[in-house]
Formats: sequence, C-alpha cells, structure tokens
Amino acid sequence: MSILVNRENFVIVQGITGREGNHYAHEMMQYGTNIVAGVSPGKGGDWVHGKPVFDSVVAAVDATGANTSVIFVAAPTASDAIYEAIDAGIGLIICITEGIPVLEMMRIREYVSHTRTRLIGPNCPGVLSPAEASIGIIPGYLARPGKVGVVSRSGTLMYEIVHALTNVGIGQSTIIGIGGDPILGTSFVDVLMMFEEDPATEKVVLIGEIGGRSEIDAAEFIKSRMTKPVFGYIAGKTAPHGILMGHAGAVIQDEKSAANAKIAALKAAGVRIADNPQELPELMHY
Amino acid sequence: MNVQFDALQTYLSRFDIPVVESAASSLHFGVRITADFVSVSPVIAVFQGSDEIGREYISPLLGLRDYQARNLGNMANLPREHWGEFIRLATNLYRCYTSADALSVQLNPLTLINGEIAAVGCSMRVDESALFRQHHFLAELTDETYHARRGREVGITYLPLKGQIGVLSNGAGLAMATMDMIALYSDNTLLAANFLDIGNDLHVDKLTLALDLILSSPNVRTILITLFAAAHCVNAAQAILGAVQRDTPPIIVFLSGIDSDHGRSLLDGAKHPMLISAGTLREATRRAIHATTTGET
Repeated sequence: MSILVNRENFVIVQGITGREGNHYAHEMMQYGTNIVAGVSPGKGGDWVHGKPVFDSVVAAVDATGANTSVIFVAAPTASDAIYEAIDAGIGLIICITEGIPVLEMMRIREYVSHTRTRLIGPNCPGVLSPAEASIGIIPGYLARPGKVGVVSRSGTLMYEIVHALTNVGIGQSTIIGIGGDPILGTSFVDVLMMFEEDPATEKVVLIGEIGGRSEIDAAEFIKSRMTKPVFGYIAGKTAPHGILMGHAGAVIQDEKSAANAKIAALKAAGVRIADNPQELPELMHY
Repeated sequence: MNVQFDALQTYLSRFDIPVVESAASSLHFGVRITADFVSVSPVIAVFQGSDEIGREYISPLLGLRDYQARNLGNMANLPREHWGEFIRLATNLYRCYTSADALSVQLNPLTLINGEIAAVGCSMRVDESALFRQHHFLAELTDETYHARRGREVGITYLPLKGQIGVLSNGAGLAMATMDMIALYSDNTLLAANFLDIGNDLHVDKLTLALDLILSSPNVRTILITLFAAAHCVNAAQAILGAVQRDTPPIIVFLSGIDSDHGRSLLDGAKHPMLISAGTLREATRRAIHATTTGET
C-alpha cells in the first residue's frame, strides 16, 4: 500500500524524446510503472520504447486516458509544460526539471490552487511506491516494500537514507522527493497529512535542510495532528548564513531557517532526529 | 545576483522610473517589491529605514491593483494630490520587477521633483534561475568567483568555505550532510573547506576539475569524497582513479550504490599511497579527520 503513486497511475512522459526523458521512461517501465505515452511537441507520431508520442498532452490524454504526467523538459519550457498538463486535466504532475524561475513558480502555484491537480516538485526526484510504481528518477533497487513513509527535499541524501533503511530490513510504503526549490507544489505538511491517513504507513521519515520554514510548519503539524511517530534528519548545520547551498531553496535567510532552529522545533514536536543520516534507522527500533 | 547601480539606473529608465542624484529627499519613505516565499507571491511595501509602514500582497497572475498602491501611499502619509503619481510609479516598478525576473527591487528614498516621484537610491536582485531569458544581466554575475564560474560551466556547484577538509559529493543535501559530519565527529575542531556538488554524471574530466577547484584553496589538508553513485559505482571508482594525481593530500572515499563492493575493491586495489576507501559515512569522516590531524592516511 502507498500514497500518490501505485498501479492505477497511467503516466505520460513530457519530454520523452529528450535524453533524460527517454532514459528514465525506460527505467520507469522496467520498474513496472504504467507508462502509456510520451509528449514531445513536433514529434507526434513517433514511438519511444514501444509507446506512442503525441504533440500535445490533451491528445495523449484523449488517446490513452492518462491521469498522471512526469515532466523532464528543460527549464525554459517547463512552466508551459506544467500549464499544459493542468489544462488537460491531469490529476498528478511530477516535475523533475530544475531551474524554473521564481516568478513562474508563483504564477503556477496560484493557477494550480484553483484546480484539482496536485503538483509535486519542481526540481525533485519524484515518487516511488516499492513494488508498485516509480514516477521520476529514484533508483528502484534501493527500496523494498514496507511500512515507513519517506519524504525529503533532497535527492541523493534521501537515496542514502532509503538505502540504509533497506539494508537493515526496514521497508517503505512510499518515498517522496518534494524538491529543492523555494517554491514547491507539495509541502512536507501535505505529505505528512497523506501518510497520517494512509493505513499502510506506520512511521514516517522526514529529511529536511536549511532554508525556508517548511520544517517548522511540519513540526507544528506533527505536534498538533500527527499520531504516527516521525524520525528526521536535517542537513546544513554547518552551512554559512546567506549563501545558497546548491539547491535554490537551501539558504539561511534568518534564524528560523537555520538547521538548529528546525531541529529544535521538530524535537519539541516529538520527532527523533539523527546526527548521521546513515544511522537514522538505529532510532527506529524495528 | 545584484545588479550594479549604473546598469540598474539605465534599466529603470526603460520603465519611466527616474533615478536622481540628490541627497535631499522630500519624501521620507521608500518602496520595494520582494518575492515572498511564505505567501508565495510578490509583496509590495512602503518603509522608513528598517520600519515597514505597510504592505500589500500581489497576485502573481493578476498583477498589482491600483487600490493596493493607493493604500500604500495613504499609509505612508503621501498627500492625496500625489496618489495618482504614486500609483503610476508602483505600477511601473512592478512591470520592472516582472520584466527583470527580480527577487527584489527597491527605491529608497523617494523624492518629489516638479510633481513627479523619483528615486534617490535603488537596488535590485535578479533570480539566477531566469538568466536563460535575461541574457542582458549575465554581465552582472560579478560576485561569482573565478573558481565558482569554472565549476558552474560544467554543472559543478562549488563554494569555498573556511575549514580544512575538502568535500566532494553528488547532490546538495549529501554535500551539506558530509560537511556536518566533519564538524560532528571532530567535535567542531575541523570544518569543511568547501561545498561541492558534482551533479549527476561522473567522468574523469569533471572529477579532475572538481579536485582542482577543491585544491585551489590553500587551507585544504584532506579531501573527503562521498558519492551516492547509484548505478555507476565502478564507473565512479574508475573516474576517481583517473583524476587523482600522484602528489595529492590524503583522499578518503565513501562510495554507495550498485556494485559498491566492486567499486571499493577497484579503489583499494590501485594501492595509491594517498587514497583510501571507507564503508560508511562515519568511518570515512573519522579517517578524514585522522588524516587531517596526523597528515597520514
């Protein structure tokens, strides 16, 4: 069991004829994901990995009944790809692309809030429900089915922690990378709410970092509404103030966005925090 | 990225916003528009020194409404006869903010000249993610160091820091975590000498440049490489061996992912006197700390 992603997602790949889109479309199919089509404006009529390519999202949806889209197109055209998927009635959009301007993301957030579409990302590795489906670029061999939900702003750090969980026999219900940008379609709180409701999830791992206040919001939610135990790791304790650390969202703007403030807020909400990400499973007592 | 004064003055003139060189200001407030990540919208505010007088949240889809600018003029005690002029200025400033993909733009203080509102001082910060459509601001990337620029051109994010141990990771989160491990296991006696995210594809040329960037700092006594190599552990090990020079400070490598045992045995089998591998983050960090304090692997 899982949240967001399972066998019922019928997925189109926007940017399937590009290098990354092509590569990961194949990886996702290998994992068992229902990839039904690709979209690449100007390449309609082509076939990639045995799947039809369409010129528009709406044509792909009409032909295949797709309900999910994963976006690999380059940053300059990624916001248009998101609007196109929203307007075609796609229910779940997962945007892998990094580098969408802040102003575009503000407009997209306002636009999508008036629809029923859920956006995950941008600048995220995607969502994987072990043994069900993988939408995005999370390496499938890391995960195994189980009862721990994982949510993270970072990609490879999350892979390392999922790997550590799997190595000691702790499986996962769903693994979600929400993205490293300052403006995201889906927040920690949105995902925690879903894990709290999901009967298949018993415990939750939250992987945060410096910048913004989404971990502080998460701590408030955990304290007031969450019954399931939460475990965490926060990166960037030694990051200097005011300097962007790789991710567009990873910058300490004020005391509240520093790692120590986030760790203190999460601990006060009952979250157990690991000092070393690889040793996080030791806190979980399975 | 901050835009230099001269370039900004020219840019603002395209939006009918005059910037005058006058120390005397007849209006004792400024106006700014900033990207607010909490409300996920631009915020326009009038302020005096460090005190905010009032703010309005702008719908990023609709843009600034006249009433919002009028309210701010009113809150700043601007005489009624100038409200129309202030609406014109604020509207132009919002056009400038969106056209430039700014993260913030500020006019402070403002002054009245012949019934027209002008800025005495100005500043603007542009979103670097938008440089693909803001080519005219590329020349403004002056606060970027030579080494940071060399890295960026091949997809490496490099930031020099103040510590002694060079860090090389793939992924921003993993790089920050590696930095934190150094402080944790040395009881804050040692720190990272840099942040370096090498990105997705690992090959000899990229690793060579990454090591070069790390060693550009004279403080580096040891290098700690932590790679989540995913499907490419053997490739990663080969790339490391191809890039490491004979004459190098101690290098400690933690590789994780498919075929990590094979990757490690390749590294260990090379018998490079300054290169060792480790099986966990803790072990790798401890060895890097040991090498830094003793000078030996």
